Amino acid sequence: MFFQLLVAGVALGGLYSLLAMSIVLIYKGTAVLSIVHGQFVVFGGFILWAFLSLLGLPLSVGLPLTCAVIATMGFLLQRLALQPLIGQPFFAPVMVTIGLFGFLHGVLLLTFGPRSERLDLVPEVVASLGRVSVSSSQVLGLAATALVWALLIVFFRYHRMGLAMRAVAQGHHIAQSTGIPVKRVFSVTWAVSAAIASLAGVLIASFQGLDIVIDFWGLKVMAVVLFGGLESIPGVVVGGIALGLFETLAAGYVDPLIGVGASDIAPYVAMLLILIVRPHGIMGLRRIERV
Amino acid sequence: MLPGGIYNETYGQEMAILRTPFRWALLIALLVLAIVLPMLASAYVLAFLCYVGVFVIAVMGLNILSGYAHQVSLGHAGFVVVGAYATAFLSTRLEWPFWVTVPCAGLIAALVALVFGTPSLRIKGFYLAMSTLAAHFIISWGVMRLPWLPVGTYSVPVAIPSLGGIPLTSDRHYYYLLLVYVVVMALFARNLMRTQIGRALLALRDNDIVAQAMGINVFRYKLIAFGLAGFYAGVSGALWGYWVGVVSLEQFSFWESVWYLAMVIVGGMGTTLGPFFGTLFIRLLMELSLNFGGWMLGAFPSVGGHIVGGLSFMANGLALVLFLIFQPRGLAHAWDIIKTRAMIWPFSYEARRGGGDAM
Repeated sequence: MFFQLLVAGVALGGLYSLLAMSIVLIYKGTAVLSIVHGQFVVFGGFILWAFLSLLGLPLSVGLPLTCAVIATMGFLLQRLALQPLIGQPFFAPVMVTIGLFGFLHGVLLLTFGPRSERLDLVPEVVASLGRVSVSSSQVLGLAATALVWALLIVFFRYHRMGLAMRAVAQGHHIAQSTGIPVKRVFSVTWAVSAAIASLAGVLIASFQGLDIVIDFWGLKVMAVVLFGGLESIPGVVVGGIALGLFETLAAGYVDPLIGVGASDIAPYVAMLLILIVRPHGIMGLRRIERV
Repeated sequence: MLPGGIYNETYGQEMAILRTPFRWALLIALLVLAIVLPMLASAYVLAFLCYVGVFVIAVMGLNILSGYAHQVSLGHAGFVVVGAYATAFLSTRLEWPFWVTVPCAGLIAALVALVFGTPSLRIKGFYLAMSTLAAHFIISWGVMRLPWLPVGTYSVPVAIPSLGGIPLTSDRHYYYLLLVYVVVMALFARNLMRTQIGRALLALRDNDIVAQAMGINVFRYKLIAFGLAGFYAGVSGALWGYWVGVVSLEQFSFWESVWYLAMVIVGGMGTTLGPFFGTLFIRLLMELSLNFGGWMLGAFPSVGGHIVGGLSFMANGLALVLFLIFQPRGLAHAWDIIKTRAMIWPFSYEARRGGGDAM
């Protein structure tokens, strides 16, 4: 059973990492910790479901279209709600994202209602390797995470916009003074990050089914973001897998002791533990505060 | 801001909560209005006011923690839950009387708040907010699994409150009870800011490193802030439990924590009137969106019932975002501007920037 849990944990961890990558991307680029990404996740899932089931589009059209729609959503969010707050102390944009989290939850209820659906991206095939069974959606999740990670590495190293984002992440003023349009970089960062989050949402939906409570993934994944240190993408890959393992092992071993539900609380317990033991994460930068 | 011709010549005058006879008169008039209101208001308005009254107390506690001391807490609903369930337990299992269970529920919630406030020793700011977020979920999860709850349910009845043998069953009785609680706790919170504890919390807010360097035990005062917030939340949960008669976990989701913080921010962080303005505003928004949703449901029955819930989320979230962008100091500050404008018209308010009531 242990190896089965291991496989499930790594697959879950892949999804956590993907979502955490998008949040770290925002933090690196704009110094804003976004709580609203949970809504990008759930909207991504529902919009793709709408495209596939209600409009009958094929996956090859529906998926890029979903990413584009959510990317636009992220772009608009940054333009309208976060741009006026540039220059304000750290907490103001974070509170705005919390407010937007609530607002978008309302929009979600309005448009789709409290329903759960199934979203099958690939035919569900379960392969057995010895005593361990691996499902196709798990493999898909891991493959997608790895692909996005590789793409991000390439993007940040070679593409102009990627380099611009790194420059902005290191210092907004200096980047602006070298001619990089910082506000535009912010908007693009949000668009890209929202698209990644929507991809994570699609994968989560195919993994676990589509439900409006998926937007709480945005809160659960904060444990991963904190674990990796707020700014490190390799850190959140490690952190995501760690949290996935923690959750599935907790479900497997602790559940029989206390009744069902250890996996619900596992991310929050992990969050608390990380904050108590090592708040700046394993690869994060410890901030030195000067007066 | 003081009216023209009135100056502070003694320390007592400077620290006074109500400086001029006019302000005393205003407060007394407000209290008279509050006492007379149930005789004029409809049952719906009375119920609304009771609802607001219960919430205001919790928001006052969060105002102390997040408004004055700037320890942003995303888990306040968790402390309210503790208070509510403690009340349910104490009133039904142990059958303690009303006037004992409410403070006890407050104390229990304060203890829980202290436990979840201990990370503030090492972390601050956003990290602390995340730990309170985790605290909320852990508390909610734990409450579901309390050993004395009947298995499979987490909805617990609360005994009927009675003071001196008189059962309080009508909204009108409860309104007066709430009025007393609200006034006493608001006075306590306001007065707290005049004391050493209050000054320490303000020093924490402004710059906690400098406060530590000046000799203020930062951890101790952060814990005090958490404890107070927990106490207020517990009392609020207790009063809620008695009013509704049943406590259940659905009443206190994570969204409630968000709306509590929204009430603090919209009302004005770190002000006396802030909790009142904020709670009233957000609750009013929720009522309006519920009514509007209900009307829309009647007019367009094809739209599902979930439109009603969705609208209130949208309204609250939008209010929070708009206030953060356009009026981050909240309604209390807007009210200050109105008062100052009225006082020094035709001069501009901007000329007075830097003066005014810092608390």
